[in-house]
Amino acid sequence: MADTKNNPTNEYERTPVPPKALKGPGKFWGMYAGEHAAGTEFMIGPLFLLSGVTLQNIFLGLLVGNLLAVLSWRFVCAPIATQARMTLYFHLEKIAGRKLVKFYNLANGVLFCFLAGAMITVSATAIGIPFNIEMPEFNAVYPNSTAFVTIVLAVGAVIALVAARGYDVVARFANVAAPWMVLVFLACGIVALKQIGAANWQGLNEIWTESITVAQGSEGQAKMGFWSVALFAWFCNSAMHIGMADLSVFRYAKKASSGWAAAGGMFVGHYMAWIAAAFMLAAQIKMTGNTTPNPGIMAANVAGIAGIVCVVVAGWTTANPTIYRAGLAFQAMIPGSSRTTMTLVAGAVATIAGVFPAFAFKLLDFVGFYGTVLAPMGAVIFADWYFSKRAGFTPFAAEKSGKGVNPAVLIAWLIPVAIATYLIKVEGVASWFCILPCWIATGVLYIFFSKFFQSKTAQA
Amino acid sequence: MKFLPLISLLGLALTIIPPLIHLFGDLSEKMTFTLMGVGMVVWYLAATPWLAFQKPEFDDSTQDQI
Repeated sequence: MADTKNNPTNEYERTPVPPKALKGPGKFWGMYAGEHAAGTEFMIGPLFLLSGVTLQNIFLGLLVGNLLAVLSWRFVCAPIATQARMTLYFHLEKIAGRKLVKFYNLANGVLFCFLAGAMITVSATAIGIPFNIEMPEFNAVYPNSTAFVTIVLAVGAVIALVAARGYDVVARFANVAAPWMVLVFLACGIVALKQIGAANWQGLNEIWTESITVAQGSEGQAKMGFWSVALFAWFCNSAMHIGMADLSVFRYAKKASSGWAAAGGMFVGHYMAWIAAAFMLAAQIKMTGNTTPNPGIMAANVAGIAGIVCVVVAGWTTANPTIYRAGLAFQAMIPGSSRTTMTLVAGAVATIAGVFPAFAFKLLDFVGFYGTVLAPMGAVIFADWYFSKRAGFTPFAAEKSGKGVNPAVLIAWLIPVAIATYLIKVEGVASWFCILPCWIATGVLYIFFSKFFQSKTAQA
Repeated sequence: MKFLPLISLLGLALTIIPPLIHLFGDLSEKMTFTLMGVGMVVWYLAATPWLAFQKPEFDDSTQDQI
């Protein structure tokens, strides 16, 4: 699924990683810390404050949620990765069939486009500052001015064109930017804390609560409790850990204990950076009364030019590979299409999505939905790996039967996802509550349908 | 070239130490922002020549960037 010419790391795509290519745990710590300090963090932290999360719940909820995420990497994903040593796509292809993997990859690509759209919006908020462009207000669905649309289109076009040129340049630039960005996140939190001006925890708590009241009005609109925060933190990367996408990463690990390295990403990017970004909005509300989580303006207020550049770089270095990956997914769907064309198509979709600020302002819901759709495929891999012998069905069924689509996987995946989509979109259930039930249901249904279809085939 | 990693560390120091002095000491906000800006320039100039040419260790093509 990947582009070997442009991504020099794409070796052993269709063979297990050999012992000579295995790496120690240190390499994984650096990779995770860099990957998870991204442009999205500038939006997610402030959205917690706007959702009425108490100060105690943001510290404790994120602590518990991120710990559970690390445990998921360590004990769900890494053990299979270090035994099978295959990429997610190759592993899934053996179970689900080549055509179904393409369909899964397409879903991945489409969701990536909207995620990249949110990143383009984040970058545009910083690019617009020198031009004094008024940005959309919080909860806005549509763009508020021609100038904003122009900035988004320009940012999106540049990102799409760079992505179309290949993965290598972007990956190298992201490699340079990552350590600096992590420190800028921390610096932003420190300066915001000074601007908040609290002398102790109690004072900080009072200002935080006041910020929520200002943002939501005296009656309050929404309250995300402890478990909402914890479950969001646990599952925002669910496609990677319980969804098994990081089989592709940990197949290089000497031991499953390298899974602990995910803590580097979680506690830097999803703990420190989210809390720092939330403090940035609290400081902005205290100083100006402005409750719009505009990453460019918030970062400029607490870090000056370094903050503005950080928002642009964070948005760019995350949107760019995301568009590139979406392009690869589209290319895989259309035989004979060029990667460049498909990347530009993905870039166009992402840019159009970026024009609508709702994708950035509703990022918590979107990320939860993204996990709900993709993570259950990990349950198929988990059930196939651990329960095929015990339950009495053949593992890697598609490889053995030669079928393009394993119906057991398709049905087991679609039923829970369809029900969850209804609950989220129609009944208004928070998406992060649906991910674990969906994952478990998919695993159980996969075992049931595998036994059912395989016994039917045996009878025939 | 040997000194570039050390110089880039200086860039990182200028990014994080001024905010700490601003929080616990009496460094002004304006000076903090200026020093952070200088740190940024130092970091990118010094780190790019050695960090940008390191071969990526992994296939991270499945990462979701959240």
